[in-house]
Amino acid sequence: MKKILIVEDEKVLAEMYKEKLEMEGFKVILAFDTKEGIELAKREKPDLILLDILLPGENGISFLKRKKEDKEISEIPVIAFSNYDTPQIKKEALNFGVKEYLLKTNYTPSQVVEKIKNYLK
Amino acid sequence: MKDFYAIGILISALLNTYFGALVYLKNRKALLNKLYGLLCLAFTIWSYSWFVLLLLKNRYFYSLFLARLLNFGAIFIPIFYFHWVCVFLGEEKRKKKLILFGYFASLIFSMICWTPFYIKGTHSILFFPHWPTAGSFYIWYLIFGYFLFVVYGLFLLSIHFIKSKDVRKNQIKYVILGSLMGFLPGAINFPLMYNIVPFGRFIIPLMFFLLGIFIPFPAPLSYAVIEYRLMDIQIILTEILVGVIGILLLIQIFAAPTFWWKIVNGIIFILFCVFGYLLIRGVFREIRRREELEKISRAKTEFISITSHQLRTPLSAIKGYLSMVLEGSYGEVSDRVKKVLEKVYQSNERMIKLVNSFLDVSKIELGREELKLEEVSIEDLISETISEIEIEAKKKNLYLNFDRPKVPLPKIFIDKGKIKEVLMNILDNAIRYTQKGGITIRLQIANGRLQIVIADTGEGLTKEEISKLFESFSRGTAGTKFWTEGAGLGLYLARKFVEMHKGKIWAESEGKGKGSTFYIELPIKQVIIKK
Repeated sequence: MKKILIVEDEKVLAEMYKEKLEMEGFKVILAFDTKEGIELAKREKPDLILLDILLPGENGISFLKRKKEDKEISEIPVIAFSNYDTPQIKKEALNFGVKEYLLKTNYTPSQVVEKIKNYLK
Repeated sequence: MKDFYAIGILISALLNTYFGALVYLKNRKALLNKLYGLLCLAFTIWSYSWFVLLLLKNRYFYSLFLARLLNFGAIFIPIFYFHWVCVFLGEEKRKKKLILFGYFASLIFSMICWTPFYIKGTHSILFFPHWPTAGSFYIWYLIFGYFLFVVYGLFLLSIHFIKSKDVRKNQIKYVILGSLMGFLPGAINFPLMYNIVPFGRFIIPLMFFLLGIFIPFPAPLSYAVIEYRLMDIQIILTEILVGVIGILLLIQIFAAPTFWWKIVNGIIFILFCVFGYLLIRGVFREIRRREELEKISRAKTEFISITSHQLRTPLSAIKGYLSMVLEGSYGEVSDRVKKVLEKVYQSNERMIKLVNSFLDVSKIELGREELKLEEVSIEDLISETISEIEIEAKKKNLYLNFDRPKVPLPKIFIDKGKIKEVLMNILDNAIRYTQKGGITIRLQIANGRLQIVIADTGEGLTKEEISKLFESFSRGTAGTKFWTEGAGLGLYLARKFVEMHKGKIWAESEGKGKGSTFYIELPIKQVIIKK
């Protein structure tokens, strides 16, 4: 069973994606901020990370930075998933090697699952 | 020769007084401005005493006093400079200990300065009758004052210069430029204090050359500080101009041959000062007013941006859950309920589009929108857009034709997403406001520019409507009559996107009921012919 880590501070959204992914047969772990996200990534070694960019305290970019510096988890693929999409933030995230930068309002949970499945093939 | 050199030093002293006061008075409370004022004060003490020393003939006591006084000023230059650089770069806290050490060392030097250990006396060298002679302790000032703080300050500036970008990079560039102009020429004075004449016969032209670089050094530094406080270049230029003319008029007073000429020049100088002050005040007020307006407009746009981002979260949740219900993730849904939910889903999609438009507008107005240029076949892009929107035309029994050119056009460099949105907005509007007939799209090259022409057989537009069509938050009266969905942002966004491509967008109509034609024109320099 493939393991997905969702780093998302909005509880409603985090649970919605968790529910959908579980229906599709994934194991899902939730983290609500960057610090928790890094800890869980190191402990659980997920197959993919779904990362929100606007997070309380340290944002998603700082998550990507810390992840890159940590050899244990630096290779795990990340899909950035946010409602915040200024060109600058987007560019920064892509420079950190995120697979894609998706705008939440443009994708239904099924479409997100499709994207995830594609990256895990 | 000595007199020319003295005049140069005097101009430098006056410029330092002027810029120091200017920056300090602009914001007396800011540490950055205070430190700059102090730095200029140290330079001023140095340069005025230097000027008087140059004029002295044979009075040993005064010459020794002045030689020590000018060095007293010089002692504080490196530490004020370093402290100022640290505050400017936001490094103050990290360098606190070094700054404290600098002040402590400067204090010690300033006490020893009045003894023969620091300045033994004066000697004549080149064309200078009195030049300070370094004492045995002076070398420590060179190491722990000049070298350590100036070079390290420049080093920090360079590091920040490499890391920063845009406006900040520009400011740091000015500070580095000003620092080099101020400190490099100063270094030539040190060997002379040890009675060493470097560069042989080139020394005299070199000293004048360096003096020329040294005199205007406060200008870039002050520009950097004041621009840092978000002031406008216009006011700086006005102040520099007024300052330079003022200094020239002041020199004229002293240079006048007779007493009466001095009086006349004095009156001219005073009148100039009054008018100069009024001029600067006028420019300053005008800029303040403009800044206020910009601030309000920016705050409004920021507000829209933040609110729209916030709105996206609940919209994502509605979209997500509804889509899952419609897909049957939570069990079978009856057709009746499904139809209703689909309507809710569509309304939510409309809301998402609206929020996206608000965000696009705010991004443009805050200057955060960028073009992602790529090579695109315009014919393919138009076909793609048509295929997405033709269902809407079919619903109203309208035709939607694209007259493809017989010979394919060369590919062009555009932001595909943005130009597609422009086409989408115009086609969407054309379909909305056309009840009978349809829409035709054709391409043409006019005056070396690519034109996309979209003609419809719809409502048509009055001249007044055409004039307001591409403004933010306006809709043609036809729009208010038949349609109330749009926020009136589509065409405004279209204009902004086309303008970002350095293109033009406009509409033509022969009047009510006669249809309208929209033109999107992209300039030839955007069109790159593929070899």
